[in-house]
Amino acid sequence: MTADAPVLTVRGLGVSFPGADGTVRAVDGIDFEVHPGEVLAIVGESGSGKTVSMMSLLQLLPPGVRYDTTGSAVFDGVELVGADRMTLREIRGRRISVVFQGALGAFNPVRKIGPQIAEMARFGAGYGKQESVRRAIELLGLVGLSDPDRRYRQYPHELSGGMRQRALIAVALAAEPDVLIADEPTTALDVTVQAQIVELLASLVARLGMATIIISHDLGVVAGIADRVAVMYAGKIVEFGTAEEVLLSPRHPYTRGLLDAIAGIDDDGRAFRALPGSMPAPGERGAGCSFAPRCSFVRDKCLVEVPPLQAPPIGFGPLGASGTASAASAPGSAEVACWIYDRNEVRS
Amino acid sequence: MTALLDVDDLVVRFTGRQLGNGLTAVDHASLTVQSGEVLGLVGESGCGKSTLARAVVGLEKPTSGTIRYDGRDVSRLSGRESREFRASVSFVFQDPLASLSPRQTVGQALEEPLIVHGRGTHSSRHARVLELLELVGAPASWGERQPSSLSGGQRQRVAIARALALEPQLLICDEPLTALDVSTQAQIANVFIELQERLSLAYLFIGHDLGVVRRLADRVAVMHLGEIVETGTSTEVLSSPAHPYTRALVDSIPIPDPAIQRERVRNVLRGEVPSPLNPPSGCRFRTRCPLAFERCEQEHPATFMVDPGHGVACHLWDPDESRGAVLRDAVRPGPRTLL
Repeated sequence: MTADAPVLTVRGLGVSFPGADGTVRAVDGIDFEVHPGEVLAIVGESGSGKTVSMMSLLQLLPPGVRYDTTGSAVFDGVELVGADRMTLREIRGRRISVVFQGALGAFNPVRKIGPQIAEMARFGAGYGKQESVRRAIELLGLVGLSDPDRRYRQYPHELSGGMRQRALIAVALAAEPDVLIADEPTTALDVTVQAQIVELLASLVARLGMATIIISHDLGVVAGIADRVAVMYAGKIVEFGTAEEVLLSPRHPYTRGLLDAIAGIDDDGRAFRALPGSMPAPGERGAGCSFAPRCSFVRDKCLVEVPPLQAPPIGFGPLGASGTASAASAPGSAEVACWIYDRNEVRS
Repeated sequence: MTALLDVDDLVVRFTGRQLGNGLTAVDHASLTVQSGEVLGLVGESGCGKSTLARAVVGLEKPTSGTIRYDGRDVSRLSGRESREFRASVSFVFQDPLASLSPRQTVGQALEEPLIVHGRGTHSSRHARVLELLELVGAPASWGERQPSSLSGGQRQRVAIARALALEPQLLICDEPLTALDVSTQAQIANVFIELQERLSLAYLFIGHDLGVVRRLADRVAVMHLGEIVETGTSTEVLSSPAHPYTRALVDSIPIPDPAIQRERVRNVLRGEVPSPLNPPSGCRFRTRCPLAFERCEQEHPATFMVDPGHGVACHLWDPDESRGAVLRDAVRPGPRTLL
């Protein structure tokens, strides 16, 4: 699937918020691309910059918030960074759609569900008035809602949380986008419903072939759907690779720590292997690696120099228990920003 | 042995114009928590687990049933007994700000319950505040800070410290980790584990993360649409569930392994959670149960024991149910004899 040209290519994306105490860099130079039919997951904890990076691209940060976006994001030949309002209006919601976090807030509560979807089909995908109604009903069925004719006439509050999330996905699909961005699509849903929504997204990607970016903090949810995973920490991507590489044989100590902190159902022992401390706020980051204060394998270089995101040196495999890389069985596509994978050190 | 907390046949029913015939949030639920024991209470949102917990501390009025604490019916306590009960049972909410005032410093918030209950002198209370901060792994300097200057995990530590102020025996924790980030969740879960071991506390721990509950709890009660459908040790219930609903919950826990998770996602539980305003006849899980048969529609299941201390409300486990023998294996594989 990665043989196709990427539909969205992001290079050196940075987002900063000017404030009274100086500029806060929420996103600090990230690179990625996403291909048609591919699911890219951007994972991280709150404050990692995962949502801000996506929303700044589409200029969807709350009105009145002053921010600067730097770097480049090219969608189908069009530069999004610094794009004017008219250019963005053609793309946003039509060719790049967003499933927003919090399905209740995303709907107009005093309008019926159906017309809100039909509107997107009409103005986003160019359906006629009658056609757009038919299309909305079809979409409600496509996202797995029973009795779509009746759902069309219901108000958002009449649907359960899971059903609302499905309807919201229908809104995002109505414009037949090339890129679907889903921001925490399963958060606040019960595990049983979470699994349903992940299954729905996976089947829609397989069927409709759009490029999809899932923003999530839940590595388990991501495992069910993502082809590739980018792990963000303090505004940077610290690890990037296929879902198997990142989740099964992580290289970055932060990824390892996040995976260890998840309680499996069959785990023995009582205490959790918790990561100490918390992620530094954008204004409180030191000179070196932002993860260094929480890292059990920290070395001198980590405190003074930021590790770049790059492919590990040849022969360097996943992170071992002692804080050194294990032997690599085969070269992969993984990239990691950590001095454990220092190329210079290998040469010397 | 008298249980520390004994909830017997509890019903909590809400009525109101918008609720039609009324909503039974807790429907004949019974559970016990022994002294020093952790009982995990799990189920989907809207199943009544929070209502049950709130009824225990008097935040909801039971429609029927009894709640006994240390052998005494909590609805018939004298003034002094009632004060003792409120000191002995404490609540930790999902949102730590629910129990912290933005106008108080952390130190004031921790001291307040001591003042209200007339405990100690000014200086002994101050010493207790420092002790409480130490208990939850917080530095003494937090005493001067405002809750707004703390992170979510730090606030939850303070909320736990406040809940401990009056040296309770039972802590009721309503999804205390849900609003926290993954790495913070593990830290706070460890605080709960450490405190429980250090102070021999009992917890009624409500959570939807079964991995967390499995580690924290000695026993688990699974709730579905107001009813408790399975109880037993957390190892038994969560590692080899007997109720198809518990099986579905366990199978829905996301596992960060792509091959396993993609396969599991394909086998999700179908259908919507029924409305508690109009629950299905017979077994309330039958509309989503992959194993349901006619009897499930007609008859409300009794509770059967599948192992000592492991009860399940499902027709599959009725020894007289001929279809059970075959279908049981789909929920809980392996040879076993029925009690």
